[in-house]
Amino acid sequence: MSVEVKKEVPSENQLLRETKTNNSDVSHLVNNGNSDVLTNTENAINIEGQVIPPQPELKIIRRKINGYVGFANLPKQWHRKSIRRGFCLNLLCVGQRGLGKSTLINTLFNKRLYDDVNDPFSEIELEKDIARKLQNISIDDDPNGVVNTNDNKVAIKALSTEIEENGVKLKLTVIDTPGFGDSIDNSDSWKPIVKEIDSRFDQYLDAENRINRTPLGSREDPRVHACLYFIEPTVHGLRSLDIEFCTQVYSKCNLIPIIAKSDILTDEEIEHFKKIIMIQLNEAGVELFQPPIYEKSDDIETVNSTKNLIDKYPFAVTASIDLVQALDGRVVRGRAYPWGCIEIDNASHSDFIYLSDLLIRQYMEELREKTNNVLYENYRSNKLFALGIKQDNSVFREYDPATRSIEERKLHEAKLAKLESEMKSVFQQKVSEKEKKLQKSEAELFARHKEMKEKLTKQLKALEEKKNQLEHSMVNAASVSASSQPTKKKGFLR
Amino acid sequence: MLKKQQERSRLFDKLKITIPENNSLEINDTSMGQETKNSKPIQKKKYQTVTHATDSLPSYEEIISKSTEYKDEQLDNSSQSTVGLVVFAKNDKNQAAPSEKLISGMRQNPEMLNSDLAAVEVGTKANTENSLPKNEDVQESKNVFVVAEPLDSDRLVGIGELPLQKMKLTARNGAYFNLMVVGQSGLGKTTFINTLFGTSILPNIWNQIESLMKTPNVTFNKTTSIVRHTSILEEKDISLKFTVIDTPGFGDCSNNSFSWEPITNYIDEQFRSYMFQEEQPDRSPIEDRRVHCCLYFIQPSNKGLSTLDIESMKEISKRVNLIPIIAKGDGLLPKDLQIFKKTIRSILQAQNIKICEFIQKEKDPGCSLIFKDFPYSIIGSESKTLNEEHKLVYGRKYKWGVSEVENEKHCDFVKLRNVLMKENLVDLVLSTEAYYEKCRTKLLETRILQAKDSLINVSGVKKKDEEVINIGITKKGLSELDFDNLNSNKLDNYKCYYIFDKLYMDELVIEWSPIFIHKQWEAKQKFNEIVLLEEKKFKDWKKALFNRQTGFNIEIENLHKKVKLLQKNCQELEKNINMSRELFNHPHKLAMKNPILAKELSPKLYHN
Repeated sequence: MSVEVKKEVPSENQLLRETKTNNSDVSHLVNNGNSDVLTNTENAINIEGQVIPPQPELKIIRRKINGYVGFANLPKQWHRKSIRRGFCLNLLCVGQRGLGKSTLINTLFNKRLYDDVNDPFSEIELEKDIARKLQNISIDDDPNGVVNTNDNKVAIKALSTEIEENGVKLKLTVIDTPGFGDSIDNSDSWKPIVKEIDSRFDQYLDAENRINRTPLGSREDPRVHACLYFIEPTVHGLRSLDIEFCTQVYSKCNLIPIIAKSDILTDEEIEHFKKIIMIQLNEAGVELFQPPIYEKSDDIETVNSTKNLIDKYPFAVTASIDLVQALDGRVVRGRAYPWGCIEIDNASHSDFIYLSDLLIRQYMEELREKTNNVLYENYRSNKLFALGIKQDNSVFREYDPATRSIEERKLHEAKLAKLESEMKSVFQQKVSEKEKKLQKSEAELFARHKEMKEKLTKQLKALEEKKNQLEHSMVNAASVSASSQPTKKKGFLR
Repeated sequence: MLKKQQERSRLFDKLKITIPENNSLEINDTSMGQETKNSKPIQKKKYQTVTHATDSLPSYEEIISKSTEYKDEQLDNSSQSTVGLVVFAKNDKNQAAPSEKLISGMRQNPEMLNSDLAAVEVGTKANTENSLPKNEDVQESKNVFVVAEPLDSDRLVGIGELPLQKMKLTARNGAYFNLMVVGQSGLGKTTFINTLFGTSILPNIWNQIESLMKTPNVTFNKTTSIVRHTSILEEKDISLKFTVIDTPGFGDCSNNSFSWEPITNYIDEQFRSYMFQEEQPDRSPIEDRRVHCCLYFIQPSNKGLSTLDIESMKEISKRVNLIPIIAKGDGLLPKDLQIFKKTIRSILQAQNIKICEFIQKEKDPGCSLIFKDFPYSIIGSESKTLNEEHKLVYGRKYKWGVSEVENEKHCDFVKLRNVLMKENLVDLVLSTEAYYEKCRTKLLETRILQAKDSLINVSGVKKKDEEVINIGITKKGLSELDFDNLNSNKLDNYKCYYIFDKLYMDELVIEWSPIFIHKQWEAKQKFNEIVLLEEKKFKDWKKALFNRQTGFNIEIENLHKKVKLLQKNCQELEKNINMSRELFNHPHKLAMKNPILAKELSPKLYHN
């Protein structure tokens, strides 16, 4: 029983027009056979040495409902919602020139997406390419012997369009990589492509981390949902460039290798070639996108068809947008050779139909899910760990609201008590300060008063004495006056 | 650059001139003007020209504004230069020729694609002389938008099946729904939930009655408590993790101020918890515990809403999808019910309480049921009784008849169930995201402000300091953040988040609780009284002191006066003595000067 966990994560508006992208929801990691990625994150947790704290035991009632409630209609709600929001697919195409990338895209989406104008391999572009190379050669002739690496520049070109069928809208972006594998030294050819994948992840990550995220539904998803890798139909197995690219890219996007232009290979050759490729990829440790198989929940038919699809890996495809007449007179998409007509949409002629099933009809949502749930999450956690951010698993703990509220109340009380005591101590301090001040002024007052009083009483006493003496002397004056000497009087006066 | 602009304007002139000549093309002049205006701020780098062949395709203005927006964003955050190229082909196949022309026009002018300025001229060849400077050295990541017609209109690519894929995925993954029920006790919250699922998810009151007898009622609880019941339900192989958040004790006290606080607090806490879960490097264990919908049970009083109802709904509606419902709808006559509903609606409107604000904004016709005739009135019954037609139905048996739960004539239970389960479960869950964003933004801003403060006030960052240095996120790291433009920091904001983590925020947020603030206020009030008392004491003291001082002053003054008097007396005496001495020596003089004194003195003088 898996429970859906929805996460709406934003993305920078990457493309040129308004489409409702279905950015949907992450669910409990569906095991898409990418156990490797999963263990990576597990390791990360182990490194942190943290374990997710045990959840308090919650009583969960499990019940099957007999009556009618209505939530069984949920998938239909999603149906409505998803049509309203629209879908999006970002497809990365990598392969050498001339392997029919543009034709395949055009055939897949029944649209002339790549015309001569925006086909990177149109004559015009080729001319420019040649001109560029000529320029490089002249630099290569530099007497200093500096080898110019400009020639293996892989360009990244994105092309988007909108496809609508039965009211369902798909915003398609095809990311092309002209120049891949076209140089003499192709050892770094994968670098710009990986950079592009990363930068698209980064765009999404930045958008997700914005303080003000764009509201729901209007977010765009720039991430690469699938990577088609075109293998040259050589029958000799993969070249080192192919393997190098695949090992670099498989953990970052859903890798789907295809044998291009398989109409030049016979059935035996294809079978042989497929085997070699799978062995080689396996040896290199490359994991390809595999549609999930739900043996338990799906019916046998679905399971078998999925298995059958996986068996066809890597798809040997032929593509053509031309309509030709088959031997029996039907008009089909195909390529007419003098020796016969290859039908694109015929499963016995080419694996095209399987590719279309995988990319569009059956598993597009799985591709997007895996990109969102596994690949992107993996990229994101690695990036954050690299930044030095540590995992804090305690945040995943679920609190019982009742105990939580009790805790909170306690905290509130503690805080209040603290606040009160703080206030009190401040107050007390102030009170005692004031008290001291008053006491001091009181003491001062008393002291001053005492001093003044003393001074005055002293003065008073002296004066009284003086008066007494004066009066006395006054009385005596007459009697003394006759015999008294002035000197004596003078002395008295002083 | 000037030259480029001139060239560009010439191109525009040409565009305008060529329009009338080509009948199959229409160019909306106003939007062209708008485009020119919009592209002005960014014209240094690039601009786009849009050729508009028909108006039958997606709104022109929409695309222009969108693409300009996009460019502005791009300018902000990337050095990549992007050339936007929008080409419309007319839907009508007969009119496809112009687009062919366009393409051929572009063919002849390939440099445009690679140059700083991309312009598509209407018509052919006209702009060959205007070919623009090349810029081949810059490796560009182009994003070209193409509107092309299906090659074979009968052939389907398979896009139409995508919603089915989504359906399958949903069916496989199941869903979850967190529903909160708020209302005074006895309004039938528990019964409603149990009736909704036809099974007892919540413990029934009748089952509790014994325990209730022993430990009398929840009503004595002083505050609203929160109880969470989780169940995993399955209907037709679709599973639903259903969590009901019950709020016993709400509005049951004599003082119901802040009755809603534990509820809003719970909602906020779930948002906060989700934010912290979401920002962990490895967030695979994330669990959505946010409240997706809140049912507010209104008492069927026929007298409108109580203040508690209004206040609570106001607070709840800011945080979560609120659906008010009239409980026990069988207590009101249909006529009264309609009036009551109308009253509630007008009160809610007057109080600006928004019902499912963000769903409303989306204007999805699939969500109309929520707003059609709310508030729904419900009847709850977990037991089945026989109705008039002798069918076993959920209902309440009265002496005068049976009120049926699932009868649309009796109540809106079915409608409400359809909203909650059948039709709008997804919308309720997804629109929670918008409420969450509001909360998240506020919290993140707070955390970053805390970081900013901590730079000024060193004591701000207490714990973790050591650890922080260990992992290289130092305060220096914090100081490098741009606090004016928070979004420009991108991942660096995580440095703040890391330091101001859940523990820190939990402590901080606790102080935001209105109850706490109120308590604080109360404490301060109480304290103020003490302060006032103390102040009075001091005042009295001071007054007493002052009185004393005045007393002292009077005393001193009196003394002083005495002294003065004595001094005066002394002086006079002295004077007299002096005079008498002089008189004694020269009596006539005295007599001349002061005959009275002389006379007075004379007996003494002449005594001997």
